[in-house]
Amino acid sequence: MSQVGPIIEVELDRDRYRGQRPPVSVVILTFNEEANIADCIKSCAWCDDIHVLDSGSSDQTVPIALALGATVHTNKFKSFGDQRNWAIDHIPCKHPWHFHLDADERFTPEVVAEMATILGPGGATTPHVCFLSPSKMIFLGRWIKRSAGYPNYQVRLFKFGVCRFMDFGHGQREVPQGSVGTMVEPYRHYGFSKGLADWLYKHNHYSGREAEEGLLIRAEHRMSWGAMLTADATRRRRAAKNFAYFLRFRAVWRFLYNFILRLGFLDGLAGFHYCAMISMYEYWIELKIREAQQRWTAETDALVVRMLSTPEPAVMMPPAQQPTGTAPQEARS
Amino acid sequence: MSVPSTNGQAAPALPAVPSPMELFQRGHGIDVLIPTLNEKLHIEEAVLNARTVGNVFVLDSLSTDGTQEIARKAGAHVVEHKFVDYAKQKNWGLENLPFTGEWVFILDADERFTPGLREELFRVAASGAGHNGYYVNRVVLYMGHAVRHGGLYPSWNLRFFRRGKARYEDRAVHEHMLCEGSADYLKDEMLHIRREPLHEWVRKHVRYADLESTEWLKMRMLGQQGAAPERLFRDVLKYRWYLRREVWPRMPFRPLLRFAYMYAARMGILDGRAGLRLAALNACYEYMIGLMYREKRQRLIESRARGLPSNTP
Repeated sequence: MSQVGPIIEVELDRDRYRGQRPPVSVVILTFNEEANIADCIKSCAWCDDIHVLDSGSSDQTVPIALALGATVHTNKFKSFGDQRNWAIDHIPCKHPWHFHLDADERFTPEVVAEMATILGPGGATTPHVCFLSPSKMIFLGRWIKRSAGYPNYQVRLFKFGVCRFMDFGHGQREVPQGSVGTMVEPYRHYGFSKGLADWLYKHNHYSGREAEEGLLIRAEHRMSWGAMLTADATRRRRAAKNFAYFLRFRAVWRFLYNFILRLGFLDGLAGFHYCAMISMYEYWIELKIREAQQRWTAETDALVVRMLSTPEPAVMMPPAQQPTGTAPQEARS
Repeated sequence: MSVPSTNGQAAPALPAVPSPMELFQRGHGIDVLIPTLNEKLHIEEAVLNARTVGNVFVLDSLSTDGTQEIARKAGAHVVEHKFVDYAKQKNWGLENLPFTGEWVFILDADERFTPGLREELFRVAASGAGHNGYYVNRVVLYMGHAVRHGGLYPSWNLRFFRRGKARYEDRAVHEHMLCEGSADYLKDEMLHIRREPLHEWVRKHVRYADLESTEWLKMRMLGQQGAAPERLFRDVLKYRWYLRREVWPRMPFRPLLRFAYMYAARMGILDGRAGLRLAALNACYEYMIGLMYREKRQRLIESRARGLPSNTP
C-alpha cells in the first residue's frame, strides 16, 4: 500500500548544485520518523544547512539525522504553528530563506532549480516574503492528482524575519508581512510512508483537532460566500473548509466532491481508496463534533439508571476486609 | 420455586429470593470476579453493582489510572497480576483468588447486573440442583439506546458457574469457557454500557484491524489453510468459522456488505441512531482491515521480489 522507503526519482548530489545552490536553509520537523528521515535528508543533499527539529523521538530518528550530516535541535511539541515559530526564533540558520520540509516530503531537482532561479544569488531577487509551494501526494505508488487537491499550496519557503505561523485545525497557517509568491514545481508528499496504521492513528488525533476547530467556527458563524467565489485558490479552499464545518453528511459530500467533481475516478484504484479514506476521516470529524454537542453519554447513563432501578434499594455485601499498606500479592491468602 | 436444602436435613427453607449474605451463610454464595485494566470510568459503579450479588474480587492488570484504589474504596478485594492474555489472566484469577462462595460470576467493568438477573442468580445458586454453568445474555447500551438488533443481540457468554467447574480455553483472542458437565441459559440479561468516545473506539479498532489483517495474510499468502469444507459443513459452529475465516476475506465490497448486513438484514435500523452508528463504524472497521491487508500483502510481495525471507508478515 504505502512505499516502505520512497524512492527518489533522481539521485541528488551536492556537486551538481554547486554554483546554482539556492540561498535556502532546510528545517525538518520530526517525531519518530526513522522510516522517513534518511530519504528526506537525502533529498536535501543540495543544501549545505540542514536542520532537524525533533520533539523527543524515542526511535532512531536523531542518530540517523546526525549520521547524514544534519544539525539536530530538540523542542517539546505543542503545536505545528508553535514548533515552526520556535524554529524561526531559535535555530541559527545560515541562509536568509528557510524551507520547512516535513519528514514524509521530498525535494525534486526541479524544485531546487526553481528556488535558485526565483530567489537569485543571496535571495535578493524576489519582492515576495514567502512562497506557496505545490505538492504531489503519492499513494500506492501513484500521484493522486485530482482528489488530493493538487496543487494544495502550502507556505514552506519564506524569508527569515518577515513571516511567522499560527495554529489552525491540526496544522498551521502563515502570517506573512508582505506579498506572497507562488512556485510552479511541486515537491513530493509520501503521506502514507509510515504505514496505514500510523496514518489512521494520526488522523484519529487530527480529526479531534479539526472537530474543535469546527465547533469554534460554528460558534462564531464564520462563513463567507464571497471568499468561496474569489479567484485566490488558497482563500477559496479555506473558505470552503469553513463552509464544510456547517454541513451534515460531510463524509458523503467529501467523497462525491473528491471522486466525482474533482475527477478522482481518473486516478484509478489508488484514487478510489484515497477518496474513501479521506471520507472516513471526515466521518470521524463529524462524529466528534456531534459527540461534543450532544449528550449521548448522559442519555446512556440515564438509561442505565432506569434499567437498574428497583422499588427498594438492593441488599449489599459488606466491603471486603483488606489490610491496607501491604502489597496486594501479600494480601491474598 | 421450591428450594431443596443441601443435605436433606431439617434446615429451614430459604425464602424464594434469598439475600446474598444468606446465600453465603448457607454455603451457596456468589463471588464476582472483575478483571480490569485502566477502568476508572466504570469500576466504582461496577463494584457497587456487583456487591448486590456477592463478594467482589477485582483482578487488575497493573492499571496506571488508579483503578485499584477506587475499587478498594468501593469495597472490592483487589489483587494485581501482570497481564499476558485474557484467558491466562482470568484462569490465574480463578485458581488463585481467595474465593469463598460456591459460585463464580465473571463480570467486565462495563457490565452491570439487572435486578431481574440478580434474582435469577440467587434462585439458581440457592437451588443447589441443576447445572454447573450458565450462559448469560447481554444487551449493549449505546447512545441512549438498548441495542437489540443489528446482529449484536442476543449475545450469550458462559459467565456463571460452580467454582472449579469451568475455566477458559487457552487461546490468545476470542477465548471461550470450557465447563464440566451440563450448562443452561439464564432468562434475564446483563447490561453492557458503551460510553467510550469515538477517539477510543478508533484507537482500539486500528489495533484490532492490524491484528486481523495479519491473520488474513497468514491464511491467504503464507499457506495456512483452514480445514476442508466437506467435513466442516456437518458442524454449524465450524461452518460459521469457515465462512468467517475463508470465505469472507475473499468477498468484494466487504464494508458495504457489512453495513447492509447489520443495518438492513439484521434490522439495525430499529435501534435508531445507535444502530446506524454501530453499522457505520463496523463498516469502517471492515474497511480498515481490508486496507491493511492490501498494505501488508504489497510489502510481502516487495520483500519476496527483493529475495528477503518471507515467512513472517
